Amino acid sequence: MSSTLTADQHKLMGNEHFKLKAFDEAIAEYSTAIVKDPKVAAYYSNRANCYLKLEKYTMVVSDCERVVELEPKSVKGYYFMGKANLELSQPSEAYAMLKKAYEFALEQRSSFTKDIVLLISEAKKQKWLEEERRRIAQVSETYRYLAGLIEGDFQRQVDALDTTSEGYQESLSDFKVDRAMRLEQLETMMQRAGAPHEYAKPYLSHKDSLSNGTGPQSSPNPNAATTTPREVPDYMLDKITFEFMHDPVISTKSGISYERATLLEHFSHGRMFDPVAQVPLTERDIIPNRALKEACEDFISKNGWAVDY
Amino acid sequence: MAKPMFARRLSKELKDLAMNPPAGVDIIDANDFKVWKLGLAGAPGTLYEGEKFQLEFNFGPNYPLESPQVLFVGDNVPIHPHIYSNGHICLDVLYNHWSPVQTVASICLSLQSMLSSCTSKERPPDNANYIKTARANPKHTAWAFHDDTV
Repeated sequence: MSSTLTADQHKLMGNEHFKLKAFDEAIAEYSTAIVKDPKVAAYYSNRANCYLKLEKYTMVVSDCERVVELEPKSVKGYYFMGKANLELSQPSEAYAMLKKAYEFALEQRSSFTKDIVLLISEAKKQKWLEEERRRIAQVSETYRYLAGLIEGDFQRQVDALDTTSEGYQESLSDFKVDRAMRLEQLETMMQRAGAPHEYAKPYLSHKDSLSNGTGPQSSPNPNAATTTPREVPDYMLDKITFEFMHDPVISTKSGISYERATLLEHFSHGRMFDPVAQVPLTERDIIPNRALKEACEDFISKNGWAVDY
Repeated sequence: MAKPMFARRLSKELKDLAMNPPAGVDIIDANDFKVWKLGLAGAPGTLYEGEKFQLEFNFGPNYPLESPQVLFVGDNVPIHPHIYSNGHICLDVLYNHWSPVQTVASICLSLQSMLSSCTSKERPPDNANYIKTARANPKHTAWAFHDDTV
């Protein structure tokens, strides 16, 4: 019977399955539609949406690649692809896709715009986390290496000592003091380099076991790395959603900046005024605030946590 | 994925409200992002000094683009020319003058100042009539804001 139905009829059946959350059945219908007519972007994007629901993210990406090939300005294509990239822990790819999705969503006044902005923030955060992890791993690696050198020095000094000599105890404690001092210096240096203290800790334990608790202990404040206050400047937060801004626009009637997507939504509720200044304002009276956008991007690239602020 | 916009904003407002509450305001119940109950104490030196009121906020999914529904509840509804005995409040910022940059805290401040500037404790002249005909949701009332001074 399927042979008598057109590709579009299969798509419609797929949509019915989708509404009932029967995603596997929907996929089967969209696949039949694609076989019958492989040139329609919507068949792929609908199928990609099913794969998203089923968490089959690599399938989402391959369908979306086809979508944007057929329809280069497809919001759904880039949006679903970005979402899948995020789930696949590919934040940089996700960011690139979502930026395109945002651009086209604005052009087409898509209802996805707000969701895309949220996902872009999420992608920025993931990117930051990834870089942060890489940096910490690197710093920890350096720490381990340098601490090993200090430890090796100490061992050589101890080995060279004559255990029977008169000044043995004194020299040994001198060496311990020296080692503790150097480790402490190293620790301070590492903390300055930005390694949170807890990452350094695993490599610190062995020195305590050697010193028998007699040598001077370095006891840095365990909160040292976390005492820096995490605050986002108010001017980087949208005054409507209180979210970190991604695409700030400036009201030429008041000079106040807002996140573009939320301000447009405010207008769409029939409220043609500047929310803070309470003066008439329309979409024609807003322009991008490029300097603030750059400041926001710079800030978020160094402080990815700000997304959840 | 993440929480919807109104829930994210409300959780930020709640955090701020708990940390820096406006004078006389305390949180009675804010366990979800639908209904909050807040306590409002009459400011010292005003006609409402020593009185305690309860406010109920109802948030819709379009908050803050749409205003919340705000009314006085409980046994003690302030006697004020702009507050009806059913708890409905005649205050323009809650209806046609709502702006999405307003917050629960800023509403509380507006209400506090509305109470504080009151010179005689009386119900609105049309109270008896209004409470007979009003819908439960004050946002459905066609408000006429005749008095800008209070």
